[in-house]
Amino acid sequence: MDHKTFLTQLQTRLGKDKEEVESYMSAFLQIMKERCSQMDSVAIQGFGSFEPKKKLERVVVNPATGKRMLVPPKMILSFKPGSAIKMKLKMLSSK
Amino acid sequence: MNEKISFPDLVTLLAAKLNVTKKEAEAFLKEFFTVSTEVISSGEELKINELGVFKPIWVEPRASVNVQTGEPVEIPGHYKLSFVPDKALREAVNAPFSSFSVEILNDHVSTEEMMAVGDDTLPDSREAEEETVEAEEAAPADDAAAQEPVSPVVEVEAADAVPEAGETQPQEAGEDEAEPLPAEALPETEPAEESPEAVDEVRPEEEQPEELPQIEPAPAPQEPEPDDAVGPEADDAERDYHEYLQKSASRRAFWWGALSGLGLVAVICAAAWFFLRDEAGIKIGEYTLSLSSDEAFALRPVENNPADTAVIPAPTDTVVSAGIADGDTTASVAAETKRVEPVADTEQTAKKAAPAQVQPAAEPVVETIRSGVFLTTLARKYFGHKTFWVYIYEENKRVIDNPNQIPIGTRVVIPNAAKYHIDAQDRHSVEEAKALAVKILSRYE
Repeated sequence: MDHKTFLTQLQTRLGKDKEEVESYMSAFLQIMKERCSQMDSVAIQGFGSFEPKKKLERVVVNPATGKRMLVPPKMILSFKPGSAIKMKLKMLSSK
Repeated sequence: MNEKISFPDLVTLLAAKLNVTKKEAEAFLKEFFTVSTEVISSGEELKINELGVFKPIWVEPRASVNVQTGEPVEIPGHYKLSFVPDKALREAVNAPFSSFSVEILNDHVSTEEMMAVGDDTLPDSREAEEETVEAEEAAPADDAAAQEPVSPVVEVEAADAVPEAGETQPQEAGEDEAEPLPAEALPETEPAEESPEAVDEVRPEEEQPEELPQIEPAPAPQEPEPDDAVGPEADDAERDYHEYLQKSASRRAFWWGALSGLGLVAVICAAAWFFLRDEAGIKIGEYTLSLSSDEAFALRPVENNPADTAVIPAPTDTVVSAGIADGDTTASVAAETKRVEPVADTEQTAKKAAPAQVQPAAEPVVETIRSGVFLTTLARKYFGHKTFWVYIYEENKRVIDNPNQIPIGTRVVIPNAAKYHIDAQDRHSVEEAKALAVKILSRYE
């Protein structure tokens, strides 16, 4: 499901017009961005948690050329699904 | 920093940001997460702009070994959720490390050597992995380390700068010496200007004394040079001193040149001003070069009419009176105000003469085209509107080939206003002239 259909679904569920939902959405995403770049993790019960993680630098080898490369350290935003999503995915898997 | 933001915290943050009640914010967030959960749980991919893509991925069943018992086990196929953050979000999170880039390692460099070489950087970055705060502290430390080797260079530069500073001081001193001299030269020339015809003679006189100093300092520094050549045992310090003298002398010569040039310009300006003040313009042939703006505007009617319209006798009187007035004023130098009054008088008489010459005169008025005088300006002058140039053109078709390019010196006859029904007040007449202008100009395009 892409962004647009997701927004329309939210609209129908909330009974609000498009502009309102979009303003909420952008505000929420901005908060996420600010917080995550400050190394704060956002944990939502039942959904999962967004957590910025530090990754060490590492040496990789390009299999095609055989050249070794040093990949710099970086921070990535990881998402760990919560129990509810895990359960549902398990149910989906077992089907 | 490293805070854990829970759902209620998020609700408060969102409510504060949008200035809405917590209830509304909570309703939105709750709905947001339930919808997302539903979509993801159904095995569908969910893309949210600026956040990222949630995608359940099917993992094939695979064989594995129970580590404790050593039994082979089969891990059943299952879904796992992958989350790829949006580019903007990813870059925002990685901002502290954004300066790093992938580096290609050379083949025969072992990691130990690398650690030895990059002693400063690698451990630092590793620490940074643990805590960004430390990384931030390490960065300035690195900077400081990097600056240490730079500082001796700065000292050297400072040492270099010292002799330069020493050089500039004498240069300024040279300036000081030079400045009063042209100042003295100016008063000398100004008395010379009292005989205004001698200005051309004054200029060469001016140049000569000013050029002399240019030549004088030049040989002076050359004298020490032979000394150097004769006495090769001379101290380095002494040689330096001579070189320094030479340099400062050449600098002084440059300043002399510049200042004498300035002085010359000043003299020319002063001469021009002197002339204009006395005679209200330099007469070249029948044209008057009047540079001061007031006079340029005030005197135009007087100068134009008598000079060009030689046919009418009335303005010639004004010329005479103007000449007398000028003669009076030149006699009394300080009486500038007095001079203005006669000029005003002549202006008035000229104005009286101007309508007189246009209306009753049966003889045609003749004007000469020169730079700054166009058919349009003549039309404005005689008929009160520039559009009426077409009638001047019509009247002078024989002499004018192209109204856009009239050779300077062409004598044009100003037609009688009545002949073409010229009336600046009448809109109809102006429109007619404009139409005619379009017609004429279209011929020359």
